[in-house]
Amino acid sequence: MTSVAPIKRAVVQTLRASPSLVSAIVGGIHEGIAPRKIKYPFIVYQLVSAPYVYDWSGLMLHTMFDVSVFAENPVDANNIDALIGSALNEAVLNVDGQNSMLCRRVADLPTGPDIDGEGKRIYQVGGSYSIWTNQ
Amino acid sequence: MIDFGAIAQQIFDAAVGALGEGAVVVETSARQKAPVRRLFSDGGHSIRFKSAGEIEADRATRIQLGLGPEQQSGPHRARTAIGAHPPVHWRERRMSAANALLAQYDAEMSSRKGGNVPVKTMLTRRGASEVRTKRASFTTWQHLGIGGRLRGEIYSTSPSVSGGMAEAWVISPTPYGKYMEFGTRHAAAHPFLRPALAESQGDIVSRIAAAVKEASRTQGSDTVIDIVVRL
Repeated sequence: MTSVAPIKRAVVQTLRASPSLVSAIVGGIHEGIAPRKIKYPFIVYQLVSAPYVYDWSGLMLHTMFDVSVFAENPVDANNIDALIGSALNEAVLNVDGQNSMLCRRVADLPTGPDIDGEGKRIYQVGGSYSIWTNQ
Repeated sequence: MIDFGAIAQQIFDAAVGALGEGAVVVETSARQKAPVRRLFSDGGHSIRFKSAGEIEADRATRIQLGLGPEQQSGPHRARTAIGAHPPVHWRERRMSAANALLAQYDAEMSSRKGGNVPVKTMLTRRGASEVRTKRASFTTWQHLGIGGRLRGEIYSTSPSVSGGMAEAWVISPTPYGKYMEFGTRHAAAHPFLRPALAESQGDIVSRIAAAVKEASRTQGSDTVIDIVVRL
């Protein structure tokens, strides 16, 4: 049985496979929280929930991820968020040991502008992605 | 003559009732998952010999429990643990209890300054600061406590019905709740509402299915109704 770790890897791989997205994010992709001195814009992804669903034929993982962009202006934030959406929505993820069944954007995150440690106004835009795999 | 309208209403009412129960399940789960300010140390403990007074104080209890007397000397001299696990109950987060722990913390700090061997205190340095400044004080069940505001304020609504649809909400009204759920530039997310819903979905569906099944059976007719509940 494999856990949620290969799904995280697959999400990052899929994001990195998009050249336009990679060139747009100067600060890279981070899990949970980005280091303090990282350059904008950057992406942060976070596992929200991953309940295991057992059925007669095996095991399904219903995972949900939040993927957010942090940028210094709202235009960049929204553009990169759209690139993330087109990279992940309906993508067939290459998950080790599991079959990707579904990867779909299910919600926008209700986050707003924030002030960072250096007093800059930062825009956080993102969405929740539902990913189902079975094994 | 079968009154299908009455059966449908009965089934719908049962489903709405079960939905309310489901909302309480999600609320309970969200409360368990909501992060709570960390005030207490990990409760590391060490072992020391018991004093004669402590042995005497425990004597009656040991007799009651059918245990033998404790020895005051020799290789089997009675020992006891000092320090304990951090408090987890609400009452131990009350201001009165926390103030006693703060006094203990202050005494320990001055003892350390005097060059004495440090003993682990229950409050962390941050916890001591929180208790002293009352920055995180929060009233729950008419008692002033430290921390736990996010957890304490989560509630569920009764199901509301409109246009043949029923909905119940689980709400976290705490102003910083959304920062905990979705994260910020400065702090990673600690989702608690959405995981609670995701993990309770199966439970909610089975509650509603059971309620619907029961309601369709109690109508007292021979009609078999096959209903599938999806969420």
